[in-house]
Amino acid sequence: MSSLHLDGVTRSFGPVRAVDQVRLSVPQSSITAVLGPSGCGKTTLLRLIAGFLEPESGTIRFGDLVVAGAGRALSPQARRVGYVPQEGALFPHLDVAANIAFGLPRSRRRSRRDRTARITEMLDLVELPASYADRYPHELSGGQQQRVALARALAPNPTVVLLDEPFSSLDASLRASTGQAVVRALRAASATAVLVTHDQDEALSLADQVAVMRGGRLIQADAPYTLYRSPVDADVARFVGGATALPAHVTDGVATCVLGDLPLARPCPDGAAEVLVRPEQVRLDSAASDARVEARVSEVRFYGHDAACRLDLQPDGPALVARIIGLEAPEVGSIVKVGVAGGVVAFPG
Amino acid sequence: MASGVAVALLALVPLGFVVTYTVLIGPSEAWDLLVRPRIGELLWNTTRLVVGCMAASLVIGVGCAWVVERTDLPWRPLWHGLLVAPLAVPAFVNSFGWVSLTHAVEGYAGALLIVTLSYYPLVYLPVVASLRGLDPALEETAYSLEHGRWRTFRRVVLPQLRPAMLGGCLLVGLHLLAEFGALQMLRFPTFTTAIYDQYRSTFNGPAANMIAGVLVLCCALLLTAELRLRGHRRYSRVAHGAARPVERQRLGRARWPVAGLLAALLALAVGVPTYSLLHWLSVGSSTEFPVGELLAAAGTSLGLGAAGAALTVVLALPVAWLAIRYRSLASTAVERSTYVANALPGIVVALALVTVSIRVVQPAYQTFGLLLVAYAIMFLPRAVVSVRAALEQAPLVLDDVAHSLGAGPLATARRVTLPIIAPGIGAGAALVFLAVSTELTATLMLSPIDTSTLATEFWSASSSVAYGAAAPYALLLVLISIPATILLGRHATLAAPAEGLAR
Repeated sequence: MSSLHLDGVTRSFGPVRAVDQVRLSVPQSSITAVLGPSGCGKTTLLRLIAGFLEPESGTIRFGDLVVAGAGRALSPQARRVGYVPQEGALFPHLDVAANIAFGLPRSRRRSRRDRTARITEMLDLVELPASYADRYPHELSGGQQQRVALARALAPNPTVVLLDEPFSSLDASLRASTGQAVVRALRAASATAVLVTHDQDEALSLADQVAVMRGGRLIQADAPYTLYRSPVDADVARFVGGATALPAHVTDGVATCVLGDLPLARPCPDGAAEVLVRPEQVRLDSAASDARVEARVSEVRFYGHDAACRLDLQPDGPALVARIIGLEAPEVGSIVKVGVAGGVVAFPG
Repeated sequence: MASGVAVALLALVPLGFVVTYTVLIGPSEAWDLLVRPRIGELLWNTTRLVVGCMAASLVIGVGCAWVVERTDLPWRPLWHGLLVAPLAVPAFVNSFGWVSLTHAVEGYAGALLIVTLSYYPLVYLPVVASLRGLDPALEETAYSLEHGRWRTFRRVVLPQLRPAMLGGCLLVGLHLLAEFGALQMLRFPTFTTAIYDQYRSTFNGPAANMIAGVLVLCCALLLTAELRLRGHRRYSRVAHGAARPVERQRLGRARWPVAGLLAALLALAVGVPTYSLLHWLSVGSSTEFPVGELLAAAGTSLGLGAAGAALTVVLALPVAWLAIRYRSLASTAVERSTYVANALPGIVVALALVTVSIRVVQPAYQTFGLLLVAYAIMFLPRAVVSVRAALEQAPLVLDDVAHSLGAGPLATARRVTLPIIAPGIGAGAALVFLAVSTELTATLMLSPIDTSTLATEFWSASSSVAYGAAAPYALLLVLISIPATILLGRHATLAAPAEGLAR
């Protein structure tokens, strides 16, 4: 496995710049999630890395090896990437064993002992029983197909593993468990991996680094914690984790808005600004904070472990979303006092 | 692209021949040749036969496919095998079977009956394959929306079957426009038999050519109609994972009557010609078994069939590849142009090649090579249709995955694409083999002197009303067609597993 570096990578389709001046580094043996809404260019970016597309400008390096750019482009088969497409795309005419062995060098494919050993090892890695080796793709569930697709991608020891929305076709319960199993396998193989997804929970929970894309541009690439805590702009904040934006005025590290005077989590120049309040920062009936604003509960979505409440600030303030412990959820229609815990992020403007 | 265009150009040689000839005649004489009562009569005959047979094949083909695939009819695999069986009986053998028993089948009604019985499997097979691939969830959804059986079939299932139905109908129509032996035997004149008569008996080149021109127009009409009706809508499964097995419709009390109807159909389509053949084999006064000649003719037919199938499939590959992988107006034009020759009767293709070979490549005249080229031109559509359908089972993402696993273009073709499309290619080859080993007119015109195939020997015997002498050849024609027919029937029922991927 090696690290992956993109610099100034650009690719257009007609007048549309699908990928625009993207610069991104993925350290060796780490997982980077490329996150963005559909049509933001994230799949194009993946296809550029895999070599299915060539960039118009910019360079792509695997470690020190330039695979695209500076007048050269290595073919996909010479790049040795492991590619896991959206629907798994197992070869329908081959059984699981033959699918996994597909990318092994000819000598290893021919040696029965070597081949069997590698197949068993790979099945074990993706947490499937060895008895699945002689099943055919149509005999597997969606999640199992994805795991086999990963095993197939990892078997030849690729330099980089690329996963294109690998879990989007799975149902919700399967998605989380398959995602975790896939990441365990990637870590066990010390793989350098790029995971394309439009699901922020998936990106935040599975990756070491999250790269947010919008309109072909890479907006921010940071560790999940940093990204959540210090988004570069209000759009990233809203896209990652959700937030309510309120107009405010900043003086000396304190933002004054309808919710009162809120301390800033990071510096912002004095003057007009926009503050972002995360749902989990909002407290109801809290005696500790200066809960002096009243709000009417207009909607409660109860999940058991927690609940999302939609609050209309009184008398005619903006709406606010609060995420609170499930059993503490208020009644719809009741009037509650609202406070904010912790520092907030403000953007000048 | 270049190879696809080359194949298309080769397929257009006969058409070019007809057009050139027409232009050389000049407009006034062409007009005189066209506006004749004879042409009107032929046009009426051809149209009512083609339209009637397409409609009847559609009803029989779709009805049988639905009963076999979606109901609890007893012994379904057996019915499926039997319903495909008419493909093993060439149309002219079928009409020989009928006409040698009764002359009542001469004329429109008889001709319609016999060609429908011969050609409905061309609709039945693709519709069965389509029904297999169709997710039963669609039908269940319709039931849940308070659609009854019939409304569900009409509003949900039928639209999904449309590509298969249209494709099958197109094949039936094109076959009929080119059908010669069966209709000649039933004394039902159409454009094709008229052309043959003009060439053979009066050697009236210009008149025959003008009729051929009208025939080409009919073919063009069919092709554009199919293209229009098919439209640009996508027919594919939206969901992921494997389709569930079907909950079969209970026929209830209708179970045995339906089985009886199928049995009656098969009695007409397979029973009558079989009985007739056996009858002439056993009682015919002119029956003789010249074993040596029979074997030689069978050998030639088999060899020509195999070689023709191989050449045709090789030529069909680039055409289908272009049509699927590089969809554009140009690639559609290339694909469609290969269909044109199928509507030209064998004799027009043959004479075009005779003329071209004498004028341009003299040494090729009366060689097996030229004969094989004629077969390839005539039967390309069958191979293209099958290879095309097979290629749709191998989506591009599989190529991407194979490349990422280190397989170059050649290795990907060998290890991924070819194994996936092999069944489709086999089916295409089987179709061409069937067609070549029973082909009559082009073989008569183009084969080297003293070559005898089963079809030509059968024809010369039956046209001199030596029914008994014709029977052994007919029987052998049927026998060598059987393995390919079985392959075809089985392919249609195995096509399902890969369907889930081909989205």
